[in-house]
Amino acid sequence: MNVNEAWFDPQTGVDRVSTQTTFPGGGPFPPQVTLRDATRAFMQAEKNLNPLPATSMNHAI
Amino acid sequence: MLPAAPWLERKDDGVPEKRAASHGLALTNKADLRLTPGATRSVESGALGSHSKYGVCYAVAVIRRFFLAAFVWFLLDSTGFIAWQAAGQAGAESATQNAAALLARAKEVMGFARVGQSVVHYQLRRRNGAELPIGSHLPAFFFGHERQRSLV
Repeated sequence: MNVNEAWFDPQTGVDRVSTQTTFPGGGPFPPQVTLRDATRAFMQAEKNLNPLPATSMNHAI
Repeated sequence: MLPAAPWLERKDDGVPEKRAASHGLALTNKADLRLTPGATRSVESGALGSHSKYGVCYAVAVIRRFFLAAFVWFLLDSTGFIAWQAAGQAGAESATQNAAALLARAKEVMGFARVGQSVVHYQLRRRNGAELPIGSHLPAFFFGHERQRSLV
């Protein structure tokens, strides 16, 4: 099961998506957090933001 | 006997004629033939044979027609390309306008005008996994967690 949470700021056009996965007997695992705007995407790893390839821009929640 | 070329003078000394079969000319002797200044001018002015001159003219005409056809083809092709480019630009502008109108409509429907300084929060829970065969007992875990909530 996936629990997705998204926050979108209409003023800046930036969204933050958090996805947490839980399997029967496993998890919940640490949430995967991505930050995107119209041209860029980043994956949050601990306190760092790692840039993602442009293909990840098409990824839906 | 064929008529001699105009630039050839025949020295009439009574020697029997020899026929030059390859050129079809009736000659008397090698020594009897000599080029005269008038003959030289005739050669330089192109009187060496109308057949040669006609061949050159024909080749020039063919080349002219080729270049004319190439020029016409270039004009038609460039005209079509320009028309195609103009149509493409018009289509792109129309698509841009449609996309902008669609985006504006989406923002209106989603209530962006009422958002102000707020942030849109969207939460979704969904199950993953393939469907199991009909009649099989499914764990309750996969059900009852599918709901979504949207806050503005």
